[in-house]
Amino acid sequence: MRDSRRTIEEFLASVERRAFRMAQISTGNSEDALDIVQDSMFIWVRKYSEKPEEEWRPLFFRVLQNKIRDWHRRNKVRNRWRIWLQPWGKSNEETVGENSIEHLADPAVKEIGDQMVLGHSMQALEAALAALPLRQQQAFLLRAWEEMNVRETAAVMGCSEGSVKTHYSRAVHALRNLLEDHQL
Amino acid sequence: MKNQDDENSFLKKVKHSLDQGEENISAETLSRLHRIRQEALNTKYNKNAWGIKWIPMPYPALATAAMVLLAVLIYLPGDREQAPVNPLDDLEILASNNLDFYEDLDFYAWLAEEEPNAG
Repeated sequence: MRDSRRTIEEFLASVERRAFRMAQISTGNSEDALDIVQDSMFIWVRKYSEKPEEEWRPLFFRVLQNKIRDWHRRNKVRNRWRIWLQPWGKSNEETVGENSIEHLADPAVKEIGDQMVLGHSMQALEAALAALPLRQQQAFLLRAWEEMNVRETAAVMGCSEGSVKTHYSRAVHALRNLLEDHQL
Repeated sequence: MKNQDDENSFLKKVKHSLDQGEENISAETLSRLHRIRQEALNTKYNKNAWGIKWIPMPYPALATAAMVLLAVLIYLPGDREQAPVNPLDDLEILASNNLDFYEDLDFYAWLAEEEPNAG
């Protein structure tokens, strides 16, 4: 029992920093990122910790990515209702598009150019990543940072390998454009 | 060829920056991550202490959300525009604590496919 707990703890310790950073980049908010990591860990421990160890990592990142996607969905719905409920608000302002959340860029992140001028490469990179549509962002982080292959990434994202290739390629292209004047 | 080299160099730098960001997480955040990890482990190894957190409670949450929605719909002036989407869809999303119900299916299909190629 003790060994099992230690093995699971070591695994969680090995993924928690990266999980936090992925969630933080995607939400732009540390508190929400911690909530997402907490939910992911609880779900993973409850549902998947009995699975073979070689499945742990992709399963954990699958839960994490689903939680990040849930966060964006809820955020989108909340924003829609907030706009609709504003008493004297601009109810005709359709600030929320018709596109599905997977294709929406994070509206919270702006002024990437300004940050690049300031020479803050890390902040510029984060801003550029956060500005990507969610599915591109996920594909990029899983492929380029977590170093998953196309098949693993597709399984974690719950989409086809072709979609992963498309999202990843677009993400690389967009990031290179956004960061071309920077040192990255 | 040069383009591919440029891309590889770009990706290497991005990865390096992301790694640095991971290394620079604040001590306070690391401490909170440590606490979260321990709480998650306690749900498995010390169920009495944390089990209550996982009592499924979709119905109270759904009922509360439904009442709030109903109150809003009743008391708002009648000339407001319709909500842009079906309110029940939103209600389901807002009330849901578990949108990961679809997690397993295609993942295990992939694992099954992967199995014959393993080691």
